[in-house]
Amino acid sequence: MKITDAVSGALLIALGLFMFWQASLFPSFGGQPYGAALLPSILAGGFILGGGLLILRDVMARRQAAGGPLVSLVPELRQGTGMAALLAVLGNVLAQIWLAQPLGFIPVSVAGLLVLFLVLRLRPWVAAALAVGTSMVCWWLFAGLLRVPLPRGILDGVL
Amino acid sequence: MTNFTKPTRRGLLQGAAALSALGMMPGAAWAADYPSRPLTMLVPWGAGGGTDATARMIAALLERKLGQPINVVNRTGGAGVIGHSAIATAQPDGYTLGIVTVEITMMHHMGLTELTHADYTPLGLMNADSPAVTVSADSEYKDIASLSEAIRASEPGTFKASGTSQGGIWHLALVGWLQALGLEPGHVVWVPSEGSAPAMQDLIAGGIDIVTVSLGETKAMVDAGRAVNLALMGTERAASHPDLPTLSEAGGGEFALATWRGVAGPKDLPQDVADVVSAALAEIAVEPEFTEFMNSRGFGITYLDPAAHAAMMADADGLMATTMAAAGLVQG
Amino acid sequence: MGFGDILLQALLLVLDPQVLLTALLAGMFGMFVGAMPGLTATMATALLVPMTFFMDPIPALAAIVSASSMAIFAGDIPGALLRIPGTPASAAYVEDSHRLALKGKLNLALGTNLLVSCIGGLFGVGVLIAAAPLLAEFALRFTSYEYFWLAALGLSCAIFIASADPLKAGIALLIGLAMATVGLDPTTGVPRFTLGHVDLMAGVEFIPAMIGLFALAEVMRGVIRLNHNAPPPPMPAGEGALFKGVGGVIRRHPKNIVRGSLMGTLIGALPGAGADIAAWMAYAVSKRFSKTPEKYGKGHVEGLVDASAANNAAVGGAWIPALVFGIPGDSVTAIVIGVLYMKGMNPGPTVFIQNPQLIYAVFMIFILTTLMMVPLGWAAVKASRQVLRVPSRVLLPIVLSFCIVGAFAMTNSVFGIVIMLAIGLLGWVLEENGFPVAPIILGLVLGGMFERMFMTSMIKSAGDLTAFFERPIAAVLGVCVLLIWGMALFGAVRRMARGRAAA
Repeated sequence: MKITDAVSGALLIALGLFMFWQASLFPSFGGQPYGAALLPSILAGGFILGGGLLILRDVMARRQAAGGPLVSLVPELRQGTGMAALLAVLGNVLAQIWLAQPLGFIPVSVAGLLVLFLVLRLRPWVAAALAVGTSMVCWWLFAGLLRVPLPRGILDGVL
Repeated sequence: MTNFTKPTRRGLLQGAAALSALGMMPGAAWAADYPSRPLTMLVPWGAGGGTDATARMIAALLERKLGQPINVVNRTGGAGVIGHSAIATAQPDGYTLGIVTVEITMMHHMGLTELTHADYTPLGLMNADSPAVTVSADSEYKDIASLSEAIRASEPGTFKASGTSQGGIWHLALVGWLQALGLEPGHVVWVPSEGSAPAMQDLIAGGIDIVTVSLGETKAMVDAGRAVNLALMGTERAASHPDLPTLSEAGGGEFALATWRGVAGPKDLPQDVADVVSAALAEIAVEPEFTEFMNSRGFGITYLDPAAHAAMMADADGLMATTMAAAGLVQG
Repeated sequence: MGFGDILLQALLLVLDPQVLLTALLAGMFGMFVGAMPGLTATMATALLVPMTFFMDPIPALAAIVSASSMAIFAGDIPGALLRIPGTPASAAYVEDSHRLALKGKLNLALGTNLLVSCIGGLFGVGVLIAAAPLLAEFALRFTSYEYFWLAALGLSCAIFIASADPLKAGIALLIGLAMATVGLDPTTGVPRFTLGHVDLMAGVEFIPAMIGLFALAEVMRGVIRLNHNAPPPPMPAGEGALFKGVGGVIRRHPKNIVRGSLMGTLIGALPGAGADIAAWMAYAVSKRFSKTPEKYGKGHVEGLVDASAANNAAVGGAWIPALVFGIPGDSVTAIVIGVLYMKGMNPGPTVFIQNPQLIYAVFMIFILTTLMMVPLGWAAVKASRQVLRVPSRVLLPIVLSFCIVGAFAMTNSVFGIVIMLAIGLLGWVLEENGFPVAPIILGLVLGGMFERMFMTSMIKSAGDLTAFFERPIAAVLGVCVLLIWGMALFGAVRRMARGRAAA
């Protein structure tokens, strides 16, 4: 996603203002003028300054040459199935966040990877084998060897 | 596995149903044959620290007694809030236990969480440590009486102390001690630090005057001859340091406090499950492997059974409430 | 007991086949963990702790020493191959090593990493053996004032690393610093920017953020390119001997190796500053004093030399305060101290008197594992090069899976994945728009220490700013920081004036 500097500048200023507002709510520290709000306020000032400079620079550049649209997608995302691939990647991550707790790591991982491999145009049986294999290796390495508490979900009694 | 290689929808559904049925089975049958699968022990503090080491030792011994593997999992951050929340919100089936530390009686007073000690099923207190008043070896104060006198006589803000974050247990130790001396909580400035190691470093480097952390945390520097323990803020002397007087013995004021670590499960753990674990913990507390380990780290062993553990937490909660209110740390 | 006897005893302890086997296995484990994006040397050590419970002291320490030094080197491998640093210590020069690999110089990049890491590691151990008590004494003079200036110096590195667009690099640094303020405030304990979310109280965990910023963003870019009509050409495999040309690099840059090793050891010896900060500072210094600073970040081997030497030298350096005073030099030695206590080798000067044979055995293990790094690293590079034969459409989803479980493993909860996703998306958008992401990592690494030390110092001095210059070391460091910023501002003003005159 391409964002013009003027727009990112405006976003940064908004972020700076938000941080100022939040920081003003932090309780002060033992009656001293500095405390939890000090660094966030300085950083907020930095964001506003930096955002302002970005806008200024962009506006000056636009005066010399005609600017493009404010926000646009990179060409790769508009052609082919780039968008589908991107969504499949994000879908995999989101599925692990939302569905892994009830269903377990392995089923979510197998299903998610299968979709992703298919979107990347692998043959179905290769995709299925890879999805199952990758999930199993991940489980074995992390849950087995490294004892990471990956969610067991519906496979609780089997593993 | 045929379900995976031939992914017909019906096959998958049947497989999933079968798997979930299998998953339910141990859940329904635990009461009689607990534990029948691996356990998780949650630790609210980081790997390598004192609580982590204690937890891993307990887990290793508990594993032997219960006959099931116990996976120690560190859930760190947020001054202990995150790990304590994870223990309290786990399924109360006995398969997720955790180490609950003194912070559970402090965090809710600061408004960091709603959780209190009442959200847990105590299974046994395993350790308690009192802090010591420690100064640098080149400090002009050689005993606690002269230090207390000097603090009393000084302008507020002359002396500086450190050991943990603002409102942490060692900060409260200082506040309680100052109150016992009849002074304002801010008479000695508390310099927040991230744990005891940076505080000890700052003490030796000459940045601060006093450190109030546990004996185990000062051990290396004291052994190196760089720091000196003046008195223990406990009701009696520590077994590991029989020569170190308590505050009241040495004329440093009447105050005692301790940090502690206990094993607990979420609230409403079934009684038979809790009994299995607490019986095992009572045995572990007197096992030489455990006592030798605790001594080597400079940790005190104080075992309390579940009922006494619960009563102690309630007491500690009250003490913390008054000390924290005095320090101006109570929110809301 | 004479010194010769001690050495002989130590040697016998080390040459026990059980010790050697443990070191070898732990080394392989460290290689694997380091090469996995997101799994760090600290994690390798933490995972070994339960096993060391049941070992004798020497094999237990051998396992930790071996795993942690291998992990620091192995972090370079995915950095060069995929532009995904395996550990934060490799993030400083990931751009250079990856671009070298794109030019078909993968062997040169990794070969240099490996040999220089080994030299730096040996240097750090040498200093540890020769001057541990002396250096620890120096490190003990650091109070919060000195640490504040040190953190400020680290952040100033951003000026030197800053790329084509200093404004955007500065904003990226601010973003990193702002992320570091999320969570419970270290000094006052109040929650900041947590938006009422319990998990956010722990702050933005650093490793999931790095996985997101580098690995997830790379996967996203990769899959988009894959399905585009004209995917870019694959990376040249770079056949031939691994160490070809490396000798030349080392001969050309002896000064960089010494400088990097020295900085790494010193920074490592300072409690709380480890291999990550050492690598960043060594890279920045290297660029500042290089004859060709314009080549940095575009596939130049010189910065690699400094930073690789520094991060492995820091591994040995961190043991100095740990052994002498029981104060951890970094997160790995924080764990080591626990193990030392457990094994009855209580750290402190007395350990050198009471158990000299154990200490010298540890030193020997250090030397042994550092040398072992070369053959093990060679094998690891050979093996991981096979990754290049795997087509991207197979490799990227696999990398994605490892990112997800790696991020989960850091927090032991789904929240690690949430951080990875949020910051990965942010990093992807920022890179698309010309913001460099490396300064974000620098801000995240140093932000906490910078603020904590500033607040601690202000509380101690009751708000008096002159206290920041009253202690000698603090004054020297402070003047350095002010000079760096003064010169940078002066240069910027002069460039602007010249630009105006030319126009």
